[in-house]
Amino acid sequence: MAEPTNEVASKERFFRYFQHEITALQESMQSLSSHSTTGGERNDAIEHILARISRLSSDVKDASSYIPPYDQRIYSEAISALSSKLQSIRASFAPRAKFAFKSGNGFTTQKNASAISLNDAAELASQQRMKVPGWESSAESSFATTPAELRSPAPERVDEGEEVKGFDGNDPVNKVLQAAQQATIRKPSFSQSTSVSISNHHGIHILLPSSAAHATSSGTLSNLSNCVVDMSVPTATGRPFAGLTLKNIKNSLIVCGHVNGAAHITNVSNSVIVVSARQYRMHESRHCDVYLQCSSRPIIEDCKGIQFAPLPKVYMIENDAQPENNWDQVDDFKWLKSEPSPNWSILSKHVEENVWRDVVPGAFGKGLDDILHAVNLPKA
Amino acid sequence: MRILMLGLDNAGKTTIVKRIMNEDVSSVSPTLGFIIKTIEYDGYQLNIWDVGGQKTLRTYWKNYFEKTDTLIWVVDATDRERLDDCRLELKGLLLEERLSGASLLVFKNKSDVPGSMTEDNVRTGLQLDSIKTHKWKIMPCSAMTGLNLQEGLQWVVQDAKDRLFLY
Ligand SMILES: Nc1nc2c(ncn2[C@@H]2O[C@H](COP(=O)(O)OP(=O)(O)O)[C@@H](O)[C@H]2O)c(=O)[nH]1
Ligand SMILES: [Mg+2]
Repeated sequence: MAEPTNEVASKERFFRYFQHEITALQESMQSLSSHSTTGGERNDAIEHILARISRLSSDVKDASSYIPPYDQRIYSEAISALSSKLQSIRASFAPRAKFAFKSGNGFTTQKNASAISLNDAAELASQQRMKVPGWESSAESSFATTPAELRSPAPERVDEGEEVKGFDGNDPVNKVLQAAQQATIRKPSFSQSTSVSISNHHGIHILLPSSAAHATSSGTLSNLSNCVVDMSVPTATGRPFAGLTLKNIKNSLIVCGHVNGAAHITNVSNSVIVVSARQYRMHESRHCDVYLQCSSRPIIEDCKGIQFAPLPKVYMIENDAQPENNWDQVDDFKWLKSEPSPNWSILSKHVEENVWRDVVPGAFGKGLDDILHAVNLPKA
Repeated sequence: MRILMLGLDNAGKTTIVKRIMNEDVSSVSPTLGFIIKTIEYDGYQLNIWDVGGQKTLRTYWKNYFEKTDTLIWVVDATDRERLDDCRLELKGLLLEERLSGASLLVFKNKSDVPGSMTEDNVRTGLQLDSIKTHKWKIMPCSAMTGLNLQEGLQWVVQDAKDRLFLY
């Protein structure tokens, strides 16, 4: 990125200075109890720490010209956590407030002021922001009540793959898929495997059947172009992916379904991604529309032209109705200025619900080209 | 004691720390900078530094090396794709002078996921057996189920005790 190197250097220098200071301050606080109370030794030490905290706090203010806003926020929260830690240590010196933490074998999970959680601080700060209104649960769009068969494409266009074990290297499913390149829609069987792996395909439509449900412990999709992959059915019926990786994908529609961990996406371009995940992590990608349900803050790194929209209702399951959706609370690791990142925006022209419901599953004789076209992608 | 927790992004570092602290692990956001947590274990105060693993942040790792007693290297056992990346990053760290006195605990995280890599897979993939410069140990763990998190800290503390005894 085009950031002057001296700015980077001063940012880094400050970062190191700050880190050094809070480590030192924490250490001095921890040793406070060893200072004698006679002759005001302990009070001197406390005074000294107070002065150092307040200097650190004004240093952060002074550095605000070159420190990005989220770092400033994190620094400030760390400082206030330090102050409250000092306060609680001082309180513990008061004669009547004497108590000790037991140090047994287990964790003493003290969530007290000594736990300086910068992330918590950031989370707290984000709660102050405008909340995205929650999505109402929609009875008519529930997957759970719709048998997978009804959502499947016309039967004569379906290929049942062989049952196969293991998917590394010479992935048999990939072979099955490749052998059947002519047919429009593939429904590979993953009934013996514990993970889904789909790679090296061009111009095919893959619909993961509900029988793949127990294969969804983790998933990897890589090296695909001009494809439609729909994994929403098996992951909606109670078996979400533990984690999902998408890598090297072009001009494709990927309906990921549900991910209990992170959707980790690298080098995807000119594509549409539909996903419900706990985390959304996107790297080195260009020109994608992302329809997202995410309970944490999505992040992008080295991306350009990414447009975000909320998950279409047709893909929501009951769980999606409850947690807040942070689809538009995107953090860009490569944008440290206070203005909004130019690398992502909110998608203004959504694909209509009926397209997701009727066209994307491949029903009514809709082919690959029709589907890609319907979600605003070039034909295969 | 100062513990530095590093690893590629998405390895599960923050979730491990949250689980240890008995905090909610379901809505952890990717780490934008770093997190410091202090926990008491077996009479020791452990300062755990959890630093983000995104490429953008890896250049900052060096800012945290000083005074590290133990490096906990967290590996995502479901991420075969990046195991080699993971090996290279670790190798680089072990060459760092300022980490030369630190012990190494490799956490094979996400071991709850069926079909994830075995301890042997990771041991071989990261070429752990060729590490001669640091005392090391590998343990499968899970931030979701809590598997071996306590045992990991026990190792860290025991290792510190052993070193105190030696010098
Ligand atoms: N199944 C499973 N998922 C995990 C485990 N640890 C972390 N995760 C998931 O992996 C993703 C990344 O975790 P996070 O702690 O943010 O990774 P970090 O970048 O290393 O801090 C999250 O979606 C977690 O829910 C684990 O032990 N098992
Ligand atoms: Mg993290």
